[in-house]
Amino acid sequence: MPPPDSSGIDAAIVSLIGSDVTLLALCPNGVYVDEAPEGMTRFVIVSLVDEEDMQGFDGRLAEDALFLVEARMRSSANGDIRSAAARIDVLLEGQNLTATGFTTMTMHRERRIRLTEIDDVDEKIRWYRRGGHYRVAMST
Amino acid sequence: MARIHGKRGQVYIDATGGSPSAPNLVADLMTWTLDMATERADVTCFGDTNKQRVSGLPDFSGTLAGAWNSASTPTLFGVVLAGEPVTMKLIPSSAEPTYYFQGLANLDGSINVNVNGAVTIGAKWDAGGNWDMNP
Repeated sequence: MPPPDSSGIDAAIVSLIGSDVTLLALCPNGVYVDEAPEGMTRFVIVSLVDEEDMQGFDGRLAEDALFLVEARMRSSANGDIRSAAARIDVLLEGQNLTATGFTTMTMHRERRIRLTEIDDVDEKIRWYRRGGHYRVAMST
Repeated sequence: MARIHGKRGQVYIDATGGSPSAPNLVADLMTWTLDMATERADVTCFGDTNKQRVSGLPDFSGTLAGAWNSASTPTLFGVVLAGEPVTMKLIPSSAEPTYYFQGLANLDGSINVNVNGAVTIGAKWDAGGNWDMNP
């Protein structure tokens, strides 16, 4: 039997945090994988940082992934980056993820992220980034 | 015939130790090992210029390792705790299932729970009867 679709894990994370009305109120532009469309000012990014499969004799036993999940806000957007990061943590830390063919082994934060970046085009603009690296281990 | 990868390894166990055996595939395993070290007896005598040994019988022992799965591991640990020798069949690759090692084995079990990783299991085994290599 082929292993379940690994991209389903990524989609489940996006679905979990992208359907939360509290987080969407803080980040109304939504949740995106890797990059947001141009013009967005308050959004959440999900990126796969690292992944390792646990292989058994009878096939893939588990997938152990590290995801970057962070809120990003432009300084001029007057967003509440602190509350957004806290809400992301509430949604992910210790929770179960529903992905077809998988069972959650663990979902927890391994390290916190808090950065301020200068915009590449307009140096007067700052981008606030806050969230964390989340370990998501899923059994097949 | 070719060199092979370990990803198709298999372990079968017949908990009754029956012969002929009716072994069941053990799921969620990642490794198995088999050590065929042969006992040596020291026969060094006066006048010899180096130590000398003669071979005795080969030992058959080894290990199993895998991931905890509540659907399969309790069955394996049940076999371990029963304390009875089992018929074990170790296959290097299911692509060449006629090549295997088989015999009666005594099993010990272990479990490793780490806050930073998956729960893993292990087992040590040694021969509880004669072992064969096939073909």
